[in-house]
Amino acid sequence: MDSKHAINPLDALLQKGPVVVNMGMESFFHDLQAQEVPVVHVQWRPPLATQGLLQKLQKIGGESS
Amino acid sequence: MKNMHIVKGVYYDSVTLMLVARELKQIEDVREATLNIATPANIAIMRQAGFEIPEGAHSPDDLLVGLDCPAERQQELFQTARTWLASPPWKKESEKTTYQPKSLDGALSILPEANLALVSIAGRYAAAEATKALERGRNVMLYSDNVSLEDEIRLKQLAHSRGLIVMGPDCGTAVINGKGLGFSNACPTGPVGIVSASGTGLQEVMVQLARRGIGVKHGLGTGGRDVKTEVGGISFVDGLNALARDPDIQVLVAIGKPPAAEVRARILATMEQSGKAGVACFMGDRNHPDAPPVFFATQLEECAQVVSVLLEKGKQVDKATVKQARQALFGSYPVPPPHERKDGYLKGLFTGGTLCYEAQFMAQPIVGPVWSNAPLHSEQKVQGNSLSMTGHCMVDYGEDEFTQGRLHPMIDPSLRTERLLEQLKDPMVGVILFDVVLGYGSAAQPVDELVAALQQAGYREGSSFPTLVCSICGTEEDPQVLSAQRTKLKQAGVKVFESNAAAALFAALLAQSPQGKEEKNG
Amino acid sequence: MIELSARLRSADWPEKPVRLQVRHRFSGVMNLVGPDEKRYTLLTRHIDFQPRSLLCASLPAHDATGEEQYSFPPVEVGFDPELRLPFPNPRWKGMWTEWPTLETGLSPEEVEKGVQLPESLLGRGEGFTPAGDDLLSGMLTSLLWLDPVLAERKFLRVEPMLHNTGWFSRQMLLDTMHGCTWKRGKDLCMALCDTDAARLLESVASILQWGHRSGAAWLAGLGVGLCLADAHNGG
Repeated sequence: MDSKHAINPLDALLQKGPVVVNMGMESFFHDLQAQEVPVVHVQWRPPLATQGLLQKLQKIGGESS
Repeated sequence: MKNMHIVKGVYYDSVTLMLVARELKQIEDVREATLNIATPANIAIMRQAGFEIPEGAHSPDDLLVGLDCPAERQQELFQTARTWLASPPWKKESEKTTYQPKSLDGALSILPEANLALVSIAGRYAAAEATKALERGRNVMLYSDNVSLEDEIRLKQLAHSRGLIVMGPDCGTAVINGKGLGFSNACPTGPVGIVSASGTGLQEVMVQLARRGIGVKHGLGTGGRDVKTEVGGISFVDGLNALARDPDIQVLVAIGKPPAAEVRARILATMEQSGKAGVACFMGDRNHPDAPPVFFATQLEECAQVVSVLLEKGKQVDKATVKQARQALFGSYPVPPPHERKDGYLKGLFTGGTLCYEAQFMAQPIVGPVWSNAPLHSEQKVQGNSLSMTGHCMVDYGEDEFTQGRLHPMIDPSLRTERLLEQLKDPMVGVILFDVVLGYGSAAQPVDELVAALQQAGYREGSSFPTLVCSICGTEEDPQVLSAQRTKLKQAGVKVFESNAAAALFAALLAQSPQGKEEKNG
Repeated sequence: MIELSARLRSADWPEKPVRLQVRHRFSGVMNLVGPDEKRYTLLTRHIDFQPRSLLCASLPAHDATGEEQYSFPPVEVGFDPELRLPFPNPRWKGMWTEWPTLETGLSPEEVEKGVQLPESLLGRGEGFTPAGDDLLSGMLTSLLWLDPVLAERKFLRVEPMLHNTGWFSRQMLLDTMHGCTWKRGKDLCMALCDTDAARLLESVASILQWGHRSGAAWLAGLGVGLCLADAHNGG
């Protein structure tokens, strides 16, 4: 990162205000919406099945020539 | 009939599990419904409650659904539970039909300008998601606890190397550009910047500043472990430096329990070199002489008082002026007349951990040792299950032993209310002290249940009941409205104070017996 | 002769009256079979458009059981079921990688097996259209769109086995193989080519509202195909 000109992302957060990805308790999402903070709520699921299948799709797709 | 149903390989957050259990219990035939992830602790608790769980491997990715209902309804109600988990009945139809992303990357595709991930998922997964967020150049507020020290250090080092911040783990409160994240109060913005290792500490200072007409632009949380030697105050110092760079901020504030020596030195050096006035509020610390431009406080309202003087007089204010302002504050704290003093123990029941800590610090010089599940000194830790209290005692209901399978007491104070009402009937108790925390994230009706129960019990001020003393951490603009809550409590006969420190002092003076407690214990 | 109160038609709806027999009747939709064994559908909601369908003011009241001649006035095309689109916007990759693991009633193992042996999905699972058929349809839709060579290889395995599932699903799969899809699906594919997040979220929600889990299974399949095509193209 060019430290002379690029703004530090923490400073950017403080300047701009929060734009949030909320992962977990839905009440936080509603509270942020009530304050008109741009926010998207993630109905988070753990990687129980996800990673395994996605990796396999990646492998199968890559092999399919 | 008690039956345990096990669902393998699913994930639901603890709030959803609790809310579904609550819905199930409203069904007439259901005597008990309990939904827990299959950790060893939960398995033990459920076995103790009479549910049979087969021996064998269970993982926290398995869900235990315990139902106490007629045998012929077990399957049907179990299916109801599963349906409600997938499609919660309390959600509005419109919510059920919008698609919510299931992953961080999905969310970032929708909102690429996101600059912060607020992570409150189960601790064992939180570090990995926080890492992903940092790798994608986003700051993190990590509300989750049960994140290992090693993970915390690694996350913070990663954040530091990228010019980002990790607020947490176990960070419940932050304010950025006047917007509250997690538990926070509706306060004005203004020329103050705060970094805090204590959640309710940040809330209380912001509320006390608001009472003085002073706004806060940013309040960054770091989680309690940040100021320990191993973590070295990475987030704390990076936060202070960022606030120092903000031209709108005139006064820096640092809040927390006393940090490790080398971390303290780094924090103070950062504040000294910032070019701005500063207040270091290390609660319960021994008194440090002020060293302008950095001033010291050991109590939360005191911190706000010192900030107000600095803003008024500028950072070159002389120490005597600041000292006078402190004295004026302490002198303003109400003192009970001797005839109101009570013969009996002081019991504190808290939802805010930092408020519990400060109350102990205020009370101890007056009533002697105070026991607690989160004590000032480890020798004063309440033995065994925190639910049994001996002598002067203050309990933090937000600690782990009370929040397994239960919402945080700031969200749902019913357990604290239940315990408080028990204390009311105990003839050994003279004074009961408690906190009410308002704001986003906190219960919509924090005192209704208590007030109704007091009325039913025939509670009156000046009666033979223990005296009830409380403070409210909140503002008029909070959803619960400060004055509305104050009125309810006063009408119920509770003495309401404007700060945690004032309430704790008053309660301690009420309970201070001329003979001393040793004789009573004798 | 039954006269239909037609409003709009799909581009592949016949221009002349046609002999049809009622197969299924629901509150807003009727499925009929033609002499060519193909499915023809009468709809009352625009969003339900699919290949060979006619949007009517109301469904015919008369409870015909045998073959009947159905006539309709000439009406404009309200939906083109053919999917001819550019590549999806790579911005949405984070989104579509969520879809293969949506809850469809099929396990990740069944999905993985289905990717390798698509014929194993036929008739598998619960629902008016079995989840396996929906997944297969979604997968073939995205593969045909983005990787026709890979798609054809999969079709070759599936086509001889179509008798392993019911008539309605079979029709759905045959349409898919000819590059035709339902309106909800086409709306989503078009949104994937666009830059509008709200449009995308709305179209995903519309699919998930379909049936009990049919929509989710179709979406999961679409996601599988998108991931495969992406990997195959070096993504």
